[in-house]
Amino acid sequence: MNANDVCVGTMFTVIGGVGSTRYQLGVIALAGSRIDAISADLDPVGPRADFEATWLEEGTMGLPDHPYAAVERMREAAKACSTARIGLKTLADNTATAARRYDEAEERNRLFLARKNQLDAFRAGSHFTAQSWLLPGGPNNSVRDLGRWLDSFWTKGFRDATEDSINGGPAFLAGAAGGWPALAYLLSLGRHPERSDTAAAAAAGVRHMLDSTGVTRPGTVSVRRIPAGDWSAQPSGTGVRGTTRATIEGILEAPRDAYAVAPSAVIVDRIERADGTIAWRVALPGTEVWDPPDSENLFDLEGDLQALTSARRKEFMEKQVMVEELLKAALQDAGAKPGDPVMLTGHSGGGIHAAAAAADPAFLAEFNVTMVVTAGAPIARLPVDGRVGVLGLENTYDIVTAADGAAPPDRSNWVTVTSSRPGDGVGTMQDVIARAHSLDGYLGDARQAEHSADPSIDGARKSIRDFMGVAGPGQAVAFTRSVYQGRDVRPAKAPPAPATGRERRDAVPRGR
Amino acid sequence: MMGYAAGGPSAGEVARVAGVLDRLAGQMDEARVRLAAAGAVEWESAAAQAFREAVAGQAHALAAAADDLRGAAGLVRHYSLRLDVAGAAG
Repeated sequence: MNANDVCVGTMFTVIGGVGSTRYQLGVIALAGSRIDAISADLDPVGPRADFEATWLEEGTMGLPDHPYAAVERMREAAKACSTARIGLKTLADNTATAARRYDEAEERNRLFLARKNQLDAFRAGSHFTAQSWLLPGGPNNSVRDLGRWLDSFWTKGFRDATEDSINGGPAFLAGAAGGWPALAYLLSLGRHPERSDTAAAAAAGVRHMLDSTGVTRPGTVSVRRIPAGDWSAQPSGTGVRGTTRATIEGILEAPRDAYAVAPSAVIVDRIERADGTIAWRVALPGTEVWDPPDSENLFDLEGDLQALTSARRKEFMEKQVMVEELLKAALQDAGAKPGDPVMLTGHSGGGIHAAAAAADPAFLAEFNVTMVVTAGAPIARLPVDGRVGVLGLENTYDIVTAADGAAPPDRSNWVTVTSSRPGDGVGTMQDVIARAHSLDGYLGDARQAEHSADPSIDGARKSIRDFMGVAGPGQAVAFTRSVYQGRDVRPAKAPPAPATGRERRDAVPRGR
Repeated sequence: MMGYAAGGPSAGEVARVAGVLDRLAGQMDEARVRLAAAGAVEWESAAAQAFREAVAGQAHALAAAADDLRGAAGLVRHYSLRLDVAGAAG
């Protein structure tokens, strides 16, 4: 964790980015490799001076005027050069290994904490059962334990308490079950001390279940460009010109628009930078359909699960991530060229899709994704490519961001800003959750974050300005907007063999 | 290895050695400049202070080695002049 930063009542906790220890260690490791290169370049200096000394000494041997002093000075200089080179090499080695040692220490601490949390959850489960059935007044004690657990949601914030519950759930249940299940769990804990990817395993489990029950079925992705007249005041044409600001809030206004333009649609903004180059901002809405889980809308529960299990897509009946196919078709049709910088931004499920695409080597091979900006999205476990800058906004009471069951990663390219807003935990649980997750709340955070002095937030703001091609903060940027709608077209009857590759019916032209 | 005549190396050959030593001193100077650039990291902590002190120590060692090389080059060049004078006299 870098620091806490207070902006007009809202407090930010920032992890990762240029202000993080990880970033500094990266800089230090780089310094180490540079010093190592200097040392390598000096390798021949000492031996060469020694060689010349030998040449001069042997050549003048027996002469009445022998350059004793010069030869001796040359030997000393040769030795000084070699000593300096060895000193540099040692410094380089020590510097370069600092990051590795830090990583090792962090990993040990992480494993220790993970095991401790799981054992605590196991003990709590065991205690819960024992009190319920064996002790006088047990049920009352169990109710008290439950009350404490619920209280933890209010004191820790819903996000962290939910993450703890997700990761500790199996341990709690095993402890509560007792007997063989408890023993089996403890033994497995010994073999696999790191069992904290419960959330990813759960997402895969749900997908398998939905596949096996026929609730989700493979389909094909149909993509169409929506005429401007259907989503804007402009009567005809395809692209609509507009302006945005090179700020975090300016970026996140696009996902807000994506909710409004049409269902199952993404926005593609062609950014015209001041230097004449083109960049692309793609905005994704969050989950739009929960029931049925597999609907015509690509932003449904099935879509979320596809993105969360993107790296394991071959395991399931649907082999593709449909939203990713929509993104590819939209960018290609809009005219994105290989190498054009692309920013993906989304709220909630849209953020999951953005990060999942930025973690997919096949997608990155086609498009030069340079930045991902999300709000209220559980993306901590998605292996976003290290060359992609990530800015994720979260809130201490946003339960959705806990769905990854993991703390935000501490990486130099990945900044997670968690807000604690005044009055966050006030109201009913439903109100608190809704307010914490709303995009409007995050837009407010983004507005506040513009005034933050935190170096990692500042680094993210600079990355946005660089992407937009402006020098000053908050400058206006012109864009041309297009909207693309995707549809999950399911076969009328029972599903045939799982679809492979990208299949579209009335897809937009793919040529560039 | 370069050879030399039976009477020992010529003044020119010795002057070449002085030139080599000057060039090596230049390499050490260049390394010192590169080290200063590599060590200029934005890092504030006790470890950072130790790192900066280590970089400064190494820069000093590089400078000292360059001085030694130049000093040696000066002595060699002086010997070359003596050979030159002796050759002219003989």
